[in-house]
Amino acid sequence: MSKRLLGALFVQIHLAAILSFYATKVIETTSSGHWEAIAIGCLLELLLAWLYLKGLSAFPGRHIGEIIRETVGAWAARALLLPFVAFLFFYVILQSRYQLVKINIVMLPSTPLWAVLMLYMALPIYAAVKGIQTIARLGAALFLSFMPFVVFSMFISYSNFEWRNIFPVWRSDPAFLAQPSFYTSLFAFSGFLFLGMVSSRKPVKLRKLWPAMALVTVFQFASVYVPLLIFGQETAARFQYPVTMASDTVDLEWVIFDWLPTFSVVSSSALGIVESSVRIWMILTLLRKLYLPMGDKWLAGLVGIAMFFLSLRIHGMQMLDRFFALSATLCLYSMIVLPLVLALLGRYKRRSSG
Amino acid sequence: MTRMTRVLAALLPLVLLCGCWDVRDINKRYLPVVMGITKGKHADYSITLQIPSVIGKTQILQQEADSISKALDLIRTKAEKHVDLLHLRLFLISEEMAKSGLEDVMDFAIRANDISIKGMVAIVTGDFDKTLHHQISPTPEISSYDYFSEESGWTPNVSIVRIWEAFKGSQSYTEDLAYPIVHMGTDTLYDFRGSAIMKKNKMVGSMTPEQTLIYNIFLEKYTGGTIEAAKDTTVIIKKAKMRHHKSWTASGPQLKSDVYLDVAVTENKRNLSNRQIAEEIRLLIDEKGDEIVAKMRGLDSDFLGVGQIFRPTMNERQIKEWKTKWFPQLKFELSVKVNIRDNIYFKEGRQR
Repeated sequence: MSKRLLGALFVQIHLAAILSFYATKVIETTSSGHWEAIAIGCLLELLLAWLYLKGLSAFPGRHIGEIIRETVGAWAARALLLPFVAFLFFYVILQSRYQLVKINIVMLPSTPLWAVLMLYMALPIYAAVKGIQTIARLGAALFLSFMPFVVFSMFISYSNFEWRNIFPVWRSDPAFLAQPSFYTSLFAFSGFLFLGMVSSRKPVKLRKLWPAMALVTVFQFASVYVPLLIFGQETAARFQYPVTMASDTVDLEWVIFDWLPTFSVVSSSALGIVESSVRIWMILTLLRKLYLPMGDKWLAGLVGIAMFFLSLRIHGMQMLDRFFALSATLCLYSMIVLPLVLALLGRYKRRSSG
Repeated sequence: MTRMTRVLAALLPLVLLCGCWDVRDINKRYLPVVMGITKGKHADYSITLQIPSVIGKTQILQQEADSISKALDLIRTKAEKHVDLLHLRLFLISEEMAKSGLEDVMDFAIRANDISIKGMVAIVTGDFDKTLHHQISPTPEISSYDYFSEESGWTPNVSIVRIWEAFKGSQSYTEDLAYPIVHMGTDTLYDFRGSAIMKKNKMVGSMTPEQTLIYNIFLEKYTGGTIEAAKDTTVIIKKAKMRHHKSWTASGPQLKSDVYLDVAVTENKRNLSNRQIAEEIRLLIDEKGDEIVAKMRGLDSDFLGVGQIFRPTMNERQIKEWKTKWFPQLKFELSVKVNIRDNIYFKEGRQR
């Protein structure tokens, strides 16, 4: 895969999370100094991605499933990667569910949830069966067609910004680190893990990724600060979809712009589909390699049906929030343990061969 | 065979994705643009919907119920067509309702997912039902919310408040708002009657249209309004700028605000010199400003948004305590500096 496609995919995977739940969780986390929570996440991701890529560069052409299996054995690999697969699995369910409710509220209030969900599941499953190359090309097409909308829907409301709402900027006590929603917000930083699955011959360098990372950081800040600047902290904290609400505050006489939240919802759900495709593809690859050696199509069907029904089992927003909080542990495990393991394995391999 | 199935599979989305699920044609919908909310005679709320029609008349649907959504539900039940609130752009609320608090109205308007939060809010004084049933000679292209639209008939005398701003005002720790007040017009739909001063989400007082103009200048929401300085002189304001000097001493917050006005003289019957005009305007605005400040004090409502100005200097606890503790201690001074930019086509006036 070319560097550019990889970069675009990297941005999209992050952006999907940023546009869906990220802002809500960060605004929930703290009542002032939001940038601190964002910056901690960004630095954490930078550090972990560096470790992760460092480890990967010792094993060109392999993905993490193969690397761990070959170095420490099949059962250890199964045990180590099980939480990761579970995290990906639940993440896709929760993320799609979150988007689904938003689509239902803003765009399709009378369409039954299962119908939207079916489409929302079928597309990523199909893309995942076709492989990462196809997803990357699909992603590139969506990137070009939806990025303008993302930027547009996010920044169109600039005329309503009230800069004084940014205050208070400082927060000296790190009490927000004790909030569960801070850890759920870290979901949005787990996007770098897919780099371990693309198994490129030439190792991916962090240096090459910095434009993508910078862009992601800009959007991370924007998605939190746009609603904050418009509504102020007190009000934004009450909204479930602050970014979508923020785009609704602009009054443009031109009739296509009459219902601006649709732009926000359409672009975020398109990005959500790309993200889900990548994550489902990761699940399929790992499952086939380590747990269930089955045909791709059967496996995809199985995973898809499981996800579809589990997603339908989530009855309400409260339950969704609880599941988000629960799977935060899986997320933290995948984000922290996997890079550390890989870095150690890489170091060990370099030592033993050199 | 496989090719056939593939083609069929590709065609299937055309059926699934056409967006025809429970679709209703536009000619089978009512699209109200104005919602009137007042207290009902027999129930808590009385909801009125104004629906423009092609022939230029406005159709009116009315219902009383104990909650807004229930009233809408009952309207939907009795209406011949589907009532679709997507194009609702103006909420008219009766003065009586505003005085008893708008919390549930705000809550409804934000929560309803088919109402855009960019709709506008105004308060109706006088006979509410008459104002809502008021129609002027049919000009189909006029809709009542044009009156407030910045792209249409809005002037800086009128304060506009959108639903999201109103909600923000009712939630904010550091500001209150002023909503526009309208009254049934004689040759137009509405007459502007000043602004309603809100405290949280209750109306506590009102401002005259002249005071509203000064209020808009203070908020820098402003482009070109006319001020009648004295009997025979009128100026148009070209540019208004505010400068705030704030300090926080042991006795509490202090604010000195300077208003810088660039004006052009549009009428000068007595041929006053520019200095005299500037002085007259300064005195006038000073006086109006004092009236506004007195109102702010008397009603204990921070509708000038002074708290927002102090927000950068306060910590989180002070922000939370602003309305209860610090705002009552505020010392506030307003001074005006007027610069006469030009006399349009004339030279400076000279007293004969």
